[in-house]
Amino acid sequence: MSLIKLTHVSAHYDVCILQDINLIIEPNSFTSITGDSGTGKSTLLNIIGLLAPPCKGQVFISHTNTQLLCNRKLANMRNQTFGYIFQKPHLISHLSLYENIILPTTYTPYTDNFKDYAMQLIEICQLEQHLKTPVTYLSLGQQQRVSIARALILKPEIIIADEPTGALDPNNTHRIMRLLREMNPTCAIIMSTHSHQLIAKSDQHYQIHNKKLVSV
Amino acid sequence: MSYFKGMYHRYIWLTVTAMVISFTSFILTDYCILNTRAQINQQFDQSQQHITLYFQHKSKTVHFENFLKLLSNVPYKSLIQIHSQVYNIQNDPIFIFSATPNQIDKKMYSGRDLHPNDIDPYGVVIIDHQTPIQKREPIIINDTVIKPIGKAMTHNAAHILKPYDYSMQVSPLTFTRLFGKTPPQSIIITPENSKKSHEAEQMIRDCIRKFHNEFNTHIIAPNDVTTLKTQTLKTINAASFGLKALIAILAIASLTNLNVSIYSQRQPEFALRQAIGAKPRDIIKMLFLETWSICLLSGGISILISLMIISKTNALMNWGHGISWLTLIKSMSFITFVSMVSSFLPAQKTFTIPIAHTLKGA
Repeated sequence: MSLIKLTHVSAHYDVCILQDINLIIEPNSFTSITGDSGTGKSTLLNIIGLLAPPCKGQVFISHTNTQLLCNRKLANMRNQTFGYIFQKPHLISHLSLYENIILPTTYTPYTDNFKDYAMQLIEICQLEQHLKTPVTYLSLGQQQRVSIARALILKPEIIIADEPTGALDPNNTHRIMRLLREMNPTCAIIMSTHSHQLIAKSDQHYQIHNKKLVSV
Repeated sequence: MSYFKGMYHRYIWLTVTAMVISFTSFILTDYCILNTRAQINQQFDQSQQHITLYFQHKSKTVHFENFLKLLSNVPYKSLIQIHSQVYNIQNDPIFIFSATPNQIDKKMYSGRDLHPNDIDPYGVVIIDHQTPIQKREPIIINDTVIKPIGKAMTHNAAHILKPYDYSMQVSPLTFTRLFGKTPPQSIIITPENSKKSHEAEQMIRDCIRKFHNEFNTHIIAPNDVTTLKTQTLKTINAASFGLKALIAILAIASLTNLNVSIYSQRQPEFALRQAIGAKPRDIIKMLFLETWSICLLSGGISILISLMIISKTNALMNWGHGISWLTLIKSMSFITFVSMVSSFLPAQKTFTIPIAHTLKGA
């Protein structure tokens, strides 16, 4: 049973980036996507994560054709199904560390108490001593951990990670991967990366080559 | 509110200042209009009870007997009348104005010294008419002794004044010298009732027509007053609306400018918020709340400033109205309107944010 299914997806801006991509992602899997810079890894992740529509083809999330969803339902799906970790942490500078982490809960219809879980995430991410520190003063590794905690706060089914460890040292890379796996062991992770360490841990490894997605 | 944190504070205080100026202007405009309108209403309501005849003498001496004789047919309840009984003060003829008891009220004098304060609201001096002229003592006005010469009143004047106990005296020429102010330039006539107002007006107009060689006149009747009042209030309302609209435009332009400027800086934030599940409606709501909070802050400061200005102005101008609940409600509506309009344009742009592209470029 597929969690994500892409059929004949194409994307192009000025030139064609991706062509006829077909992909199936199973629940609770770790998929790594590699490729040279500019080959369309981020574009593919954006299409999977519903952050950009494909030019052609269809994207199914839990058997729902996302092309048929209105903006409101797409927003709900992004909020409840996906957790995003970007190459840059993208923290909101005028919000506190805690406020950044619980930001997705602002837009969720769930009425759960996220405070305890947020504090648990902060503790696991070893950020408790920085609760009062402005997020802009945190190191890149710490900021990335905050963004991971933000991605995990709603316990999403799918984590989209676009080179999350690109700017991090091996220690931080290892720590972040451990976090992802420990905090939400049942979710599917789709990650674009250049790190061989991460690729080795993945269940499926795809490479984008010549606008096509090739299983490695 | 996020507006009050971090990098946006420079814009915030600039905008708050602009907003405070706008809202204070709005409140003060409302306050000025309210008081002006109240004063106009008061003045016009008084004028609406009378027919006022304004006249300007063409010659030094004007004989009103015939004119008044005609006027005596007017169905008036009270009338400040003019007749030509002559008191000789340094060879200047003066005119004596007569009036009914209900106008004279308690201001009655009998040969006593007159004081400028004894002038009634129409600017006339009141003397006792019950005392026969022969027994009447000379009137002393500001050390000037006025001795009655001849009869108390002419035949016509006596005819007119017959039903009345008192008369009022005014000298168009001497009055100015005695009291240091110009003599009355109008006759105020109160018709018996509103039904006879038109009839009285018509008769007065007929009188005026016959005496057009002796004085220039114009008449303001209750209907004219009503029309003038309506026109004046309309003008004031239009001016008020125009001024408020101008203030609103300036406030909206200022705040929209801030919002657009902040929007361009906060675009990655909006994109991120949308990526993690915010709907355009949420962004609009957030922008509106943030803008509204600025407006409320400015509104609060404006009300305090306005209250201070109003208390000073009330004391200075002797005005009765301050900030009413209606003004506050209007101000709140104005603030909300400005917030909504000024957050609309930036909020509109959030609909078209290319999320992935914006986050990639941030």
